[in-house]
Amino acid sequence: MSLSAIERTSKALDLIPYIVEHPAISIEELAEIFSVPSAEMVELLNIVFMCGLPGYSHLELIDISTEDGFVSVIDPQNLDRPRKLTQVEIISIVLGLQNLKSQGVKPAVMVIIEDLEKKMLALLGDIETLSLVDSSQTVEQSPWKPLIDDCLNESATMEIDYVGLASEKLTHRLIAPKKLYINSGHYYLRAFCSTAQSERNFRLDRIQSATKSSQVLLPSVSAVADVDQEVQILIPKGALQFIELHNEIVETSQELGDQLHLTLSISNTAWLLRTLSAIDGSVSILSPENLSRDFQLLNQRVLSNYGQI
Amino acid sequence: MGEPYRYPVPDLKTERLINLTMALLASKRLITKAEIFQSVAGYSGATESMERMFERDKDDLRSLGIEIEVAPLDSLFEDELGYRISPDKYSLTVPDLTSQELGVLSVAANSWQNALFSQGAQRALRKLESLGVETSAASLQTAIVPVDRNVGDLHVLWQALTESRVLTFTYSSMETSEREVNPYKLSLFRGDWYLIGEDRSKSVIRTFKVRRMSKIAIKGKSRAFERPTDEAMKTTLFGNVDDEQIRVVLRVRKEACLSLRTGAIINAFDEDWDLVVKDYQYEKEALSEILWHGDDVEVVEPASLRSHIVSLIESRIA
Repeated sequence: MSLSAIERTSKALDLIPYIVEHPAISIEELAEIFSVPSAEMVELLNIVFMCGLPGYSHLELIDISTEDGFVSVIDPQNLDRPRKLTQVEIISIVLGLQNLKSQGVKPAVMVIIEDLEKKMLALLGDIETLSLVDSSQTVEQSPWKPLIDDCLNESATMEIDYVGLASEKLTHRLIAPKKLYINSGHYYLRAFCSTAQSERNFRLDRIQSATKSSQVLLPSVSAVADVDQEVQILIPKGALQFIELHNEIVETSQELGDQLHLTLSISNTAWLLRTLSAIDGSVSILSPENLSRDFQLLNQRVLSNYGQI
Repeated sequence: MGEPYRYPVPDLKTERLINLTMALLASKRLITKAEIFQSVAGYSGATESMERMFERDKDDLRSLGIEIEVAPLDSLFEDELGYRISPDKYSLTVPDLTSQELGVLSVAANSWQNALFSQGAQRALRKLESLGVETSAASLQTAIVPVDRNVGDLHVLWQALTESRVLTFTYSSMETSEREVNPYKLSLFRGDWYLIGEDRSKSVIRTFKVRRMSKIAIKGKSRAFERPTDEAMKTTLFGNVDDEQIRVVLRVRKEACLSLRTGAIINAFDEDWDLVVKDYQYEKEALSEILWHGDDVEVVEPASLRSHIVSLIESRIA
């Protein structure tokens, strides 16, 4: 989609000083940095080429050279300096720095971040705007994060004692960390697991102990991939959070009165039974039959605890 | 025969906005509208239409954060105004930014997934990289991961927030309904964006999940309401951390529910069960964790939670 005149103006005013500081940059690189298609970047450069100071002779126009797809500014006129940062740009950076702090950086980096925060806040002027956003409760802290950072940096393996999400059993595992990510405020570690012989996700708050290991972990040749199966469920219409949190397993969704009929594609049915149990409302599994029966039996056992059966 | 040559379509408005910026920036004194119309490329036609064009252009440049100074040319005759852009107010100056710092800023800019802050941070970064400082790839030795999910329309919410303007939107919850809200605050909570604001039809402060909002639009003028203090917003989902916790007494099967036992007081009940006392911030949180553990846990107290669970499970069996 092509940009509006205001968006183009904004990009053009930022483009000139950027090229001044990065001469002979390729059009493709510029396009990527300014998040526009290459054709749009060419158009932007054509527009800029037509602009200048009153008089508009060749001496007053912005002069750009685009030889062999590489761009340099020969004369930027009075657009050689970058524009000052807008309020939202400063806030984006300040809150971004706070994101880094919340993810546990080394003390030396913390000093740099705090200095930067001061510099950016000095540019903001009106600090009150910052109070329009609260991002203080983004992710829970984990004591294992520094160790995992080290293992990721060194491509080292780890030994962990882990309480399984669905099984609730404590198991000892040798894992090879792949990447860390955040979901719903929890840190997760994606890692190859020697026990499962495949990649698994480990929630950091379920790790009971962890140490760096010198063991090398190689996938077994006979490793079998998890197989997804189709599951049909009914959940209350108000349980939208189920879809929001587990969007990747929801194949279809249809409203049926005050309920939602969902088709899921999932391999870990033990996890699904627990997740559906935890929904505050009427829930049923329509198919497959064996899973529907397991869910009914689970509910009966719960009621039996309460002396209702 | 090859494709016929396509002449580029001129974008007159963009050219005019850039030319106007350059002219106002170059002027060492205030210049009048007449001088602008005479000297800046892109202004043509009847005076009235050029005046309208200029008014829109000023608004557009201001929306980009460009400050245009406006003052009377003569203090005795205030009807003739002059315009200019002060280079000091236009240009970015950040004292002593090192390449290492620029590298850290680059990592910070990549910690967002939402379009508003992600694009804002990237734009800021491009400007900072235009100051003549080389960026060095920052080695933070720490895995920095995006903290939020991307949601559309944060730009509109931000505009309404900063300009104190009323928002209208369709909200999908138990029921889908149309809302009219005075926006007070954006809050990122466990990866999701929320809007805290006053539901105008009910005159109560509510928390809305941004992902459940659609057809978002701004209504009416700026400064349509006063934002309450953070203290006054304490009744919202994120403000009530000082509220009393809910204490739950549970019978928990021995060797089971390892995650539930974290942070709880545990005593033996009999040879099969333990008695577990645990505090939760919200009843919803307690209910969800207890239900998750299925038949390995039974609520002893409070009675209201116990009976809620019984009727919930009975509805699933019926």
